[in-house]
Amino acid sequence: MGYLAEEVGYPFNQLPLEAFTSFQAGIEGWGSICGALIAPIQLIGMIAEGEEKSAMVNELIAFYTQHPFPEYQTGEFDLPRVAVGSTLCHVSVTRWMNETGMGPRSRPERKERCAGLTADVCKFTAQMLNKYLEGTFKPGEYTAPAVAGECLVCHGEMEPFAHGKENCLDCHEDHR
Amino acid sequence: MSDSKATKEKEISRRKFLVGAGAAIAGVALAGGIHNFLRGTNASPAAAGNVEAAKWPVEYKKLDPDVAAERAYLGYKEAG
Repeated sequence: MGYLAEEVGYPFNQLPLEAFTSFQAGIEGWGSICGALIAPIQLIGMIAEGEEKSAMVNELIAFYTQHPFPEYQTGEFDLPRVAVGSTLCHVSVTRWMNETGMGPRSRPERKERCAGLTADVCKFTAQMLNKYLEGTFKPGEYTAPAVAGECLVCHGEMEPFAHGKENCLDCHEDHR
Repeated sequence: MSDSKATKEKEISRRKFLVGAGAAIAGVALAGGIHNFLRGTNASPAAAGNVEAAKWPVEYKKLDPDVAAERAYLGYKEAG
């Protein structure tokens, strides 16, 4: 956001960066949506419109769930990369820690991983917005898992009710 | 331009943006409910005593994705 404010100026230079600090740790530690996604989604919503706006947000979230983070690394650590399958901070961080053995959360490697993840998300967003500006953005490189749609064919209308686009089978038993 | 006029115009500019930014954030948060909560269902900026809402969509210029990544990384490290 600060980079955009420097390059573009108004209105991005009117956004106090401090306003975004509560999104850390899935919003003040609640483990909800990963804070790295909030500002990029807001930016897309400010810059793009219509179906392309929705497509870019969908693309970003699908990327988040499938990309093995962290790609961006400074060399201080040699961090294993894990695709976490969810936008929830709770799932994202705990899955990475459990699969890599690099817990607990206070460990410097974990902080470095989340910093690298934030860099990856912002880079992907900038690449998408650049393509949008050029008129070359094409959605579909990353898409929601098919299983969510399959589950919602029934559970969108019958109990137990559900909705969403993430992989249902991460938390629910497969009974197909 | 006098300093006081410049300051006043800067303040108006900031207020213009906040009206628009509020709408943008609300649209991201929840498609309908919060949007209406923040802006009022039928309220216009003029009716609220504010100036006209910021133009949307907002202008964008191409960014260097690698610089964006580095800035994001450093921002996270500084904040956290």
